[in-house]
Amino acid sequence: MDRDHFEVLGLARAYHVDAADMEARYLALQKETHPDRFAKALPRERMDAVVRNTELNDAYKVLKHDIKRAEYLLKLEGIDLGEEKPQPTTGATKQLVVDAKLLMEVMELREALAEARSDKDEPKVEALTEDVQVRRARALQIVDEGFTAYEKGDKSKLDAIARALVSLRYYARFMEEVEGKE
Amino acid sequence: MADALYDIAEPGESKAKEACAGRAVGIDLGTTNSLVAAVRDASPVSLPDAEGRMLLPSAVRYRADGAPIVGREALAAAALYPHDTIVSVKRFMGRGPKDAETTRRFTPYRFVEGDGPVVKFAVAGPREVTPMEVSAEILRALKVRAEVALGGPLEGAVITVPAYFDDAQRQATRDAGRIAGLEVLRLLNEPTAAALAYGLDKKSEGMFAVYDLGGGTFDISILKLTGGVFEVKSTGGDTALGGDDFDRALAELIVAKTGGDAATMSASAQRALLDQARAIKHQLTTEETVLLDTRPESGSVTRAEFEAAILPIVARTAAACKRAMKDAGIDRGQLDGVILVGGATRVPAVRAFVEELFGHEPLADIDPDQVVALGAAVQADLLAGGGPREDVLLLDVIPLSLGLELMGGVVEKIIPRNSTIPTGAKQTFTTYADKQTGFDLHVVQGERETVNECRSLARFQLKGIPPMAAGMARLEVTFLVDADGILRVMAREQTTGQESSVEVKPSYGLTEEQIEQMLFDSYEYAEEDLTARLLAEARVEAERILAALAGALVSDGRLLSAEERTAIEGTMAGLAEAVKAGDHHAIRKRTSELDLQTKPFAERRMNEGINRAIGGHQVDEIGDRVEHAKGTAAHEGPGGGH
Amino acid sequence: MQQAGIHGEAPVARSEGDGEFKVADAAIAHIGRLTDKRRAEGKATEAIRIGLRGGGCDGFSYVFEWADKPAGKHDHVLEFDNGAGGTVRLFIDKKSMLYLKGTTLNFVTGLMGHGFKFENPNVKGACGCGESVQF
Repeated sequence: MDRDHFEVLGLARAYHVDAADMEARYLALQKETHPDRFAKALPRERMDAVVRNTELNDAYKVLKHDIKRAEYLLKLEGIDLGEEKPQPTTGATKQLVVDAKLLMEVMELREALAEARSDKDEPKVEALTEDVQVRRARALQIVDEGFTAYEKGDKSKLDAIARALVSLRYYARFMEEVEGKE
Repeated sequence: MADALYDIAEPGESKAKEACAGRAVGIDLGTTNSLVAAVRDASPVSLPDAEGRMLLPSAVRYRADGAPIVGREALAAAALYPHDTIVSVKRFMGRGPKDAETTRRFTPYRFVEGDGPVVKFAVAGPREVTPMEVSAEILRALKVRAEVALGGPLEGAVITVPAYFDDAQRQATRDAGRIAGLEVLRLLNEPTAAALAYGLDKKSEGMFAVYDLGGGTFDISILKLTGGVFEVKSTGGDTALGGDDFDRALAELIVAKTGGDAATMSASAQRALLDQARAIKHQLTTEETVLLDTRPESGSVTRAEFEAAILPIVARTAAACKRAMKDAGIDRGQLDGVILVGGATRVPAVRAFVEELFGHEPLADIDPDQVVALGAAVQADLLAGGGPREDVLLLDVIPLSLGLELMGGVVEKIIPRNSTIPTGAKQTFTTYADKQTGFDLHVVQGERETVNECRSLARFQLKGIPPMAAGMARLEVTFLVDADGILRVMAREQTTGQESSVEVKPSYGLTEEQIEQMLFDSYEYAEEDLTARLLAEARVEAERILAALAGALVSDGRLLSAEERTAIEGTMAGLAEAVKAGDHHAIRKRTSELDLQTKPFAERRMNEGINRAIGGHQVDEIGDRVEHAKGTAAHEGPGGGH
Repeated sequence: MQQAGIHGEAPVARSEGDGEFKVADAAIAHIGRLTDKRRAEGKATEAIRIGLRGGGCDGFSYVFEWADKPAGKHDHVLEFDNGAGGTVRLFIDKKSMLYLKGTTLNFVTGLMGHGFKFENPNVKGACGCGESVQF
C-alpha cells in the first residue's frame, strides 16, 4: 500500500522534472488532503487525511530538491547511499563503499583549506572554493547525463551517478566549512 | 426544545450536523495583551469588552477568596500585589523551575521550590498555580467576552503561538485552552496569522517576511503567497526576546540615573519601576525626551539613550532573520514585502532597523496589536464556521528540528526544522542485550549536536518486547508531527508485530491526570461562569429592548395616554435598575413584565401602519425577545435548575 | 408521539447525581436491544457517555455515544436496572450535568421516525436542524 514519492505526486520516475508543474501538483494535492479541509470530519477521516497529507509533504520535501531527488531515484533502483550520518539501525540494504580516491581528494582539499585559514591567506581560500565549485559542477553534470540515459531506459550509468552523488556530499560539507557552520 | 432524534454514536463520533455553522474565534494569547476576534459579515473583527476595549492585559491577580481577577484591574494593582499578580505569563509556558526565565532579575514572583517539571507560582489563597492555569484564566475571560458578543457558547477557538515555540510550549498552550474549557481547533503561528490577515486583505502574491516582535517573543517567518495558498518557507526567532526586554533595559537605565540598586528593591518597587519604564518607552515613540519625574532636576531619558540601550536586543533579531532567508533559499532582493507585527514594532528604532535589514519599507497598516487575532479569526472561521474556502489554505512548518538522543549524548535529527507539517518519520532500533525487553528513548528539540544544548521534550519507555537475542528485535518508532506542530510517538516491534507500550514522561509538561485535575478545579467556577453568561445575555437583551422602546416612545409616544406612558416608563426604570443590580432572574422577570405592559402599544403601532418597514419590525422584534425571555423565566421556576 | 412512563423513580444509582438525570422505560428497553446486538458484534457496550460540548449554531450539541474508556474521576456514573437482570450504565461529566439537570432520556416513535430524545428543561432554544441547543 506504500506508494513511492513519484506516485504520490503523480509523476513518472525521472530526475528531470518541471519544477513549476511539480509545485502546481503539490499545491493542488494540498488542497485535497490538508487536515484543515477535514476539520469537521469524523476522527478516523481526519486521521486518514493526516496520513495522506504527511505522505504528500514527505514526497515533496524529497523531490523538490535536485540532489535528494537523485539519491531517492537511486534508492528506488536498489542503491542506497544511506543518510548522511550513521544510522542507529541494522540496515539490510546495500551500502555504497566510498572509494579511496575521493577520500584522498577531499582530505587534501580540507587540509589546504585549514592551512590557508591559519595563514589568513584569503586569495588561497577563494581559489580553493572556486576549485571545489568546478568539481561540484562536474559531478552535477555526471548526474545529469547519467539520468538522461536512465530516462531513456539505460541503467548502465547508475554506479557513476552514485559516485558523483557521494562526492557532492563531501563538496557540500567543504562549502559549509568555508561559510562557517552556524 | 430540540426535537432532534438521536442514535448512540460510536466512541468519539458524536457531532453536530455540518449545516450548523458554529461560533469560532481567534485568540491572540499575548505576553502583554491578549485579544479575541471573530469573523462577522465575512470580515474579521476584534471583539471588545463591555467598555469597548479590545486589548485585555495578560495579567491575572489571585485573591485569598473568590475567582481570580483578569486584565486591566489586575494590572493596575500589580505593584500592590506583586506576588499574586502574574504578568507576562507566556514567558513561563512550557518552562521548568530551573530555566533561565525563572531566575531573571526584575521577576517579583514567589516560585514553588521543587524539582517538578513545571514552574509553579505561589499566590494568594494560598495556592500554587502553573503557567497553564494562569493562561487559562486569560482565555476564560476572553471566552466569556466572545460568548456575550456572539450571543452563545463557542464552538471552538484557534489560539496563536509564536512560530518559534517549541513542542513543550505548544503543549502548554493547548493544555491552557483545555483547562479554560475551550475546544482548541488549531494552534496557529502568529506570523502566519498576520500574513493571513494581510494577504486576504490585500490579495497579495509573492514572497513576504513577517517580522513579529511582541512583548516577550520574537518571530521571523518567510512566506510565499500563491493563489490563496499561504506557504511558510521558513521560520526562526527567539522565544525569550521582546518588548519586555526593552522595559528591563530602560529600567536599568533609570536605576543607573537615579542611583538606586535593583538587587535590594522590594517586589513592589520592581513592579513599579517596570511600569514606569513601559510608560516612558511608549512616550518615547513620539517624544524626544521624557522626564523621570515631574521635577526637572530629577533627570530625564532621551530617545537616543533609549535606542542605545535597546540596540543590542534589537540586533539579536538580525541573525534569526538572515538564517530564515537562507533556509527559505532566498536573499532579500527576492522579497516582495515585509510585514510588521507586535506592539514592540511601534518603536521607531525597530522600524528603522527592519527597513535597513530587509531593504524594504515595512508594512504596518493593519494595527500590529490586532493583526494576529484577526488572522486567527479567519482561520477559525475556515475550520469551523464558514467551512473550508476553496481558495485559502495555510501550509506551516515545524520551527525546530526534532531528534533522539544516541549513545554518548549525541543528537540524531529525525525531523529537520522547517519541514512542512503535518510530517512524519520512521526509525528502526534494535536491542543491544540478549533478552532485552525494554528500551529508553529521549526525544529532544533543537539545532545543536549534543543533548545538553537541546530542549528535552520527553522520555519514552518501550516495554513488552519479547525476549530475543541481541540485535534481533526490530523496533520501529514513528514520529508524527500534527498540524499544530505537536509531536506524537508510536512504537512497534516488527518481528512479532507487537505494539509496544509507550510510557511518556513529558520533561516540562503536564500529565493527562494533572490536566484532568485542573479541568476539575475549574468546575469550581463553572456555575459562576454560567451565571455570568446568563447575566450578560439578559443584560444585552434588556438593553436592546430598552433602547428600542425609548426610540418607539419618541417616534410614536402620542399613541399612549399619559397614564400608560408613566406606567411604561416606571417599568423601564425598574428594568434599568435591575440591569445595574446584576441579578439575571430579576432582569428576565422585569423584561417579561415590560413585554406584557407594552403589548397594547405595539399593537397600536402596528395598526397605525406607520413606519411599517422600520418601526413595526422593531416592535415585532421586541415581542419576540420578550417571549423568549419569558420562556426561560418559566423554566427557572420551581423545577428550574440554575 | 408515544411516550413511555418515566423509569427513573428508583434508579440504582451510585453517585451524587442521583435522580437528576432520568431514563424512560422505552429508552432503557431500546438500549437493551442495542447492547445485545453490539455484544454479538464484539463492540464496546460497557456504558454510554452523555454530555454537552460546544458546537453547532446554537452553541451546544449533545455527546451521545458508546464509551470505550472507563469513567474518569470527574464523571457521574448512573446505573439503571433494565428490569431483566441487566444494568444500563451512563457516564456524564460533572460540567455537562449542570446543563442536564432534570433531563429525561426518552425513546420515541413518531412521524419523524424513531430515535432517542433528550427532554431537557434547561434548553431555551434550538436551531433549525435541532442538533444544537441553546441554554
